[in-house]
Amino acid sequence: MISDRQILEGCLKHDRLSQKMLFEKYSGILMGICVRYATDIPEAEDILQESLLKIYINIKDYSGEGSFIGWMRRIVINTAITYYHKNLKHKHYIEIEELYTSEGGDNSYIGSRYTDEELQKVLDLLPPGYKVVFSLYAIEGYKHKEIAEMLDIDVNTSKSQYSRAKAFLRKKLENYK
Amino acid sequence: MNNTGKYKNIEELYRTKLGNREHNVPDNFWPRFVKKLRFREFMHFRPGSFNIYYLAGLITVASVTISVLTIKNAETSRESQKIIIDSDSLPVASRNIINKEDYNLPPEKRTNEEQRITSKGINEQKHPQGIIEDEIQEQGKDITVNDIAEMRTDDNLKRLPMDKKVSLESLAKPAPMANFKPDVNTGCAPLNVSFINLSHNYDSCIWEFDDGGISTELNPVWVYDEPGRYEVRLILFGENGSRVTARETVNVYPKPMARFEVSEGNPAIPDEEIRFYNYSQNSVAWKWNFGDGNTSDEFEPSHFYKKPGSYSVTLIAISEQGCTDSMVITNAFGDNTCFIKFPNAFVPNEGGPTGGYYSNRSDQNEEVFHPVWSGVTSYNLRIYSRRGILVFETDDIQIGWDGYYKGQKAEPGVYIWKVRGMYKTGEPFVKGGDLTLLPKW
Repeated sequence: MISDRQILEGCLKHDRLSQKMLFEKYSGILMGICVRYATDIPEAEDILQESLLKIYINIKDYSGEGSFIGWMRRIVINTAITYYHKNLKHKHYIEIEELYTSEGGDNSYIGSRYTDEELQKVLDLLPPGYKVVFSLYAIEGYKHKEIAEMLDIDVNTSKSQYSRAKAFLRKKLENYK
Repeated sequence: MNNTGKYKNIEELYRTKLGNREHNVPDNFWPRFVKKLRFREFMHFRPGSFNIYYLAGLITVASVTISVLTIKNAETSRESQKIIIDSDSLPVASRNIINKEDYNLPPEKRTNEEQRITSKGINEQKHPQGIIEDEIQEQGKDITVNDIAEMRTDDNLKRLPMDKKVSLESLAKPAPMANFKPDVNTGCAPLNVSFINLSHNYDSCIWEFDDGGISTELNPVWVYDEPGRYEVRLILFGENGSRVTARETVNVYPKPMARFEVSEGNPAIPDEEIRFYNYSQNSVAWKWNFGDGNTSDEFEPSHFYKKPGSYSVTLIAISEQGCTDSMVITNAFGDNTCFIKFPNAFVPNEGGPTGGYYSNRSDQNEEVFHPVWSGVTSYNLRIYSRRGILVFETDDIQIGWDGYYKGQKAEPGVYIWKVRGMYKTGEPFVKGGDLTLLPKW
């Protein structure tokens, strides 16, 4: 197995074989990120393509600090958000109807109850804006303040969209039990 | 995730399960991608990647530049040729006049002057115009005003470089004129303003909305979220870099906030005064709607409801500038839909008395005889056998009959039930009916 170091060095020289190896090693996980932000698979592929182009062209900008996959992740997320902004005007904006859920009680989940596909499918049911906010906060671990800046929305909007998205997911997941 | 496979919350569930989830990438992705990458890498020039394509590109660019320059040169020389022709033709025109007016001049002199003028046209191109004019005036008798004008124009054209000529032309164009109109100048926040651009003669424009927002649209629409006085500026850019600005003021009034609370009270009780507490801000007038058809303009009104029911109370707060905000409390006195219903059959549990506890959801097997109800405050249920023996009695609505009498299973058959009580609206109820105790098959 060739190490990241060697792949990276090859990619710095724009060596096609190293680029292919990088692609084979990481494209799956990067595509996994793309589908969380895209509305459909073709859009996810577009985002992946644009991100990979940025990665290969700007690979010299990777400072070596922090993990390489983390650097690529950030590029993919930034690209996805650019896409989200670009497509925002074409997408019909849907509000989730108010969902009241009883807070407290047992909020825990048994992981084995849901397959990854099911979790992704439930996530895909969210309207685009909510999906992006939820993914950024819950999965990527960004703060609401950062999300608000990235998406150019109000912090409170981010918070309220997040809590609604969460309530929505919780309700949908219950149906899978 | 801990060892039991249990996740603390939905975030942890998603983070762990989807955070590193791989998604299938189609097989034909890489070949398609490499094509794009090759193009992008090519466009992204690096010294290390200098190759035949770049060389070819360089040669192309160079040859295009050279050919463009050559054509330009050719044009310039043609133009100067034209000028010579022009100045050649000048004396011909003046010759006519000379012939008409100064017929007494000797032919040699005429030719001389003709030649001088001709040569001046070309040789004295670099002289300031004044000198030429003087000289022309010296020999003014030979040349008409028309000719001078003609010469001057020719001289100007010859002396001025190409770009000066362009600016000369653009100076002749009218200057940009900035003017615009918002559809509304004042209004309540959030205020939606459409701007109509009435400007003329400009290349591009920038709108500055004074709240940090800008736009380059022709007729933008802007929403002011925050109250305030905004000086909107429309900056026009003319062809030759000129800037003209127009200003308009938009005044956004603050929005009031309608807030209120209802006193604890029961509209079902006659003559019970219900008070409304007004916490509205930035408001000077209020409109209340009590939901029973009555309204009030008081700050903190009180109201007497005539009969029980579910009322939605609305408050509209109005600010000094006439902006409004409203708040509604639906079912201000709780959900007053009260009812009680009984089934007409049940199958007791075989395993012995259960105590009669039931839950509206868990009692799927109908092992307990109990009502479905809402809004009941007091309650008494009695069940009699056909012979008139009281087999069950309760004051607790949470407990139904389990089908046992004195620890023994009651006989299957028809029983009579009677219920009396009161809804929380204060309305009493009395109901009765029969029920069939079915044996388990």
